[in-house]
Parts: sequence; structure tokens; C-alpha cells
Amino acid sequence: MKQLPYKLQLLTACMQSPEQALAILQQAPRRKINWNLIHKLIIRHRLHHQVYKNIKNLDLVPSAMRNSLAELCAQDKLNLLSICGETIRITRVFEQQQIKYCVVKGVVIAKIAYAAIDERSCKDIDIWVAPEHVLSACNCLTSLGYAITNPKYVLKGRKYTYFSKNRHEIALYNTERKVEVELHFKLDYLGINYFKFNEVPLLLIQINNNQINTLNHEYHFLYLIIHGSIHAWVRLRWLYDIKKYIDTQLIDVKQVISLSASIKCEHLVFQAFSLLRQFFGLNNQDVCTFLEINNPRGTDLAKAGYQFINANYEFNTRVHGKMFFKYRFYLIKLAVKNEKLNALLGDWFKLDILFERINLPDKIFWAYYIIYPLWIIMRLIQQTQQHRRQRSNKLQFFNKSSTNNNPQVKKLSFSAWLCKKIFKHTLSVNKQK
Amino acid sequence: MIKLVPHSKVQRIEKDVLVTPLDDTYVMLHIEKSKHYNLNNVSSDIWQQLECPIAVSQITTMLCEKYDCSQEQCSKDTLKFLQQLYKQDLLKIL
Repeated sequence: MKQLPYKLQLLTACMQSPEQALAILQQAPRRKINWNLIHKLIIRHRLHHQVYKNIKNLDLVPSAMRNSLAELCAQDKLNLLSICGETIRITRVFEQQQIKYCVVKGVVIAKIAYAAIDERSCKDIDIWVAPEHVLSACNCLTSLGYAITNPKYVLKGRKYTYFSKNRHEIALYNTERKVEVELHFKLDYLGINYFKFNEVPLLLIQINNNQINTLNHEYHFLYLIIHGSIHAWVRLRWLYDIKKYIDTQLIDVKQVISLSASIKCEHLVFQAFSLLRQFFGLNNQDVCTFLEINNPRGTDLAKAGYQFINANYEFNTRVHGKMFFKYRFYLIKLAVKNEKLNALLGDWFKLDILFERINLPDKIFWAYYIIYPLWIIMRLIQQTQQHRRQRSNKLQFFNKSSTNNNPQVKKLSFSAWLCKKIFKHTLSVNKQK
Repeated sequence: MIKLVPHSKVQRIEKDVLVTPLDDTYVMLHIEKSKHYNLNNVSSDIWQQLECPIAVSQITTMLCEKYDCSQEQCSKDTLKFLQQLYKQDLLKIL
């Protein structure tokens, strides 16, 4: 197992306790610590609450860093208060309307694993609803002032079929309260078919004397592992959530393993536990026993996951992001056997990008499959141009010589123009029809 | 409106309110109204006292001991603050 680089050792120590933070800070001379990088990592991994709590009284940490985190935490606390308030307001209405729902991630993790709603940042409210109640849940949210932000097209005919097969959630936003809700109608990813809503046992938690439905601990824990794994554990906070959940001793690890076997995702659990041991030195008996079993796929995934966590830069899945191709290979490794091709096609053919731009009748739905590659080529060219422009701007900053005369850039501009023409022509033909 | 007097017993309404500490004070959110309230040191102390049913006079005594102020002024200000809480549906009179 690789030893963590100093930046991650420092980060994980600061997350866990003031004593551990102090111990690691005293090991290294102050001038050697790149606080700017540590600050960026804290933001990238969304760990400001966890770190600030433990370093706020440590003089070894620069005051600028502490002040910045204090400000960030204060702002975030107001946001968390709104998110938690909205969770309560929405679930009250769902209860009244007898909508089958359960709140996952966000506020629920904060309440169960951190025992405080304002000590773990989250950006939205995730609610899983029974498929038969999606429409009524949407109507309820609309009556509470929310508007659908995703999908941006009308869900009917083949588009509805495509959406319900390939997407997981509907996003809604309340502009007045500035809160986003993701209404999940399934929790399946890359051939990993998570349990059906009616199969999962629910649990009631209390926030300020308000009862909220969530998933039973083991099912929720397994979902968090799947979610973290799908996103390559790019936020260390997701891994820390798992650790905190285990620390509560509410989780029966053996049951989680058996549940994961039933939906063919033991390799994801192995990956998560392996990373937990590497980053936080977790020594739970059941976890250690599970890790002793040889699981080459899980080990491989853990190595890949480590790369994504270790990256200094913001996770970028665009084609010019360093991790674009690595992430694609990672997803193939992760997908359930026999489902790899489907997973790959689902990842590469996101037809609904076109739905909001071109409205084709159901009879010629197949045309989306033809237009899509053209659209992608156009996007790639645009991105390449943008990327080159950004690079040339950077170069200009150091060297005044302009890159506008670069023939390669001109060549690309022509290709982009050509693609645009083809695309516009398709659009106008469609409008005429 | 019901008039609060020093011997009135009061208690905060928690179900519709979320509170979070911010530095040395508290920020409160009314869930249904989506209104934020900033509580200063004194009002944070009063809010904490309101967790269980309590007489207004008891709160006043506690504040006088802590902040060294006249009983009369303290009682007047406390009643005014509690009236505001009541008006905002954050307080019930028992």
C-alpha cells in the first residue's frame, strides 16, 4: 500500500482531530508546507467544516488560512440551514400527500454520521421517490415554488422513454429560497441495479421534532459507496462520510457485504474499504476480514480511486481535462460484467443533450443517433479552440507574440465553421418540416 | 394580541425553527416563512432559556445576574423581545 503524500497526510489528520493535526504539523518545518495548495485541496474535497473545527485554535496554521475557512464555514452554515429547512418543508408536504419518498445523502448523513446538520456541507437535497409517485412529487414541489431545471425539454413519447431509461433524476430549483432538489426515480448506475424502492427498508430520523424518511443504515451506506465509487471518490469527504458512518457503530458491515453481493458490486465495497484503510487507517474487524479476501478487481479500482483523490486539480471530465480518458477507463472497469458495453454506450451517447436543441418527431427519433456524432465533433472542435485560446492567452501573458496568426488555429476555426454550417442546416431543415 | 406579563409562562416553538451557532451568537431560520433571524448574545441566552416552559420573570432575573442591568429595564426589554418572538410564531404562551 502506497504511503500518502504529505499534503494528504496533513489533510486527513486535520479532518480527524486537533491532536492529530498538531502532531503532523509539528513534524514538518512550517516553511515547507504549501498552505495555498492545502487550502485548494480543502475546497476541492469540500472539507472546510471538518478541517476548520480542528485547526481553528492551532497557531501553527497561518491566520489567513483560518480566517478564510471561518468565513467559508459561516456562509455555508446559512446555506445548510436553508437546505435543512427545505428538506423538512418538502417532506411534510410529501407526508400529507402520501408520497413514498426517502431523503438520501446530504442532511441525512450530517444528522446520522456527524450528529449535526451544520457540520457537513452539501449543495442540494436528494430525494428518492417511488417511480409511481414521481409525477405527484414533481407537482408538490412545483406548488412549493420549485421549477424543473433538468430536463429542459418536454418529457413525452420517445424522449420520455429515453429519459426514464438513461437518467436517474429530475432537478428542480427554488429561486426564492435558492435551494436545489434532485428527485431520483432510480439509483442504478453502470449495470449496478440498486434495489427497487419497494424492496428497501426505510428508517425514520428526527430533525427538530420533524420526522424524515431515509434508507435503512446498511442500504444507505451501500448507496453512498456506489455513489462515491461512480464519481471516482473525487471528493475525499465522501470517503470520510463512510468512515464517520462506520464510527457511529450503526452499520452491520457483514450485512453491507452481503447486500453488495446480491447486486454484484462487492468490488466497489472492496475499493471503498481499501481506500478507507489507506487514508484513515480504519481497523474495523469486519472490514479487515473482508479485505483479506483476494479481490483483484477491487484492488485495481482502489488504485485507480487513489489517483483521482490525489489529483491537485479540480476533477475535470471534459476532453481536455487530464482525467478525461482515465475516468472513461475507470468507468469501464467499474461496470458490472456483461453490462460494460451498455455502460460505455450510455456514457458516450448522451442523446438528451440534443433534445433541448432540436425537437425531432418520434418517427425520426433515430436521426438523433446520426446528428449526435456531428454535434460531438463540433463540440470537440470548439473545446479545442477554446483550450488553445486559453493556452495562447497564457503564453501571451509571458510572451507578447500573438498566436492569432497560427495556421493550425485557423485550420480549426474553418472546421468549426463547417460543422456549425452542417448543424445549422439540419436545424433549419427540421424547422421547415 | 395576547399581552405578556412578567409571570406569563412561555416556551419556544421548535418544530418550525432551525438554529445554528455562528461565532458567539445564533442564526435562526423559520422553515415555513424562510426568514433568517440573527440573535445577539442576550437574545441567544433568552432563546436557550426558552427550551423548557419558563416564567418571563425567571428569564429577567437570569439576565440581570449575568449582564448587570436594572430589573425594570431588563423586564421591559425582555417582554418586548418575547412579544416579537410571539408575533413571528416562534413562541407559545402556556
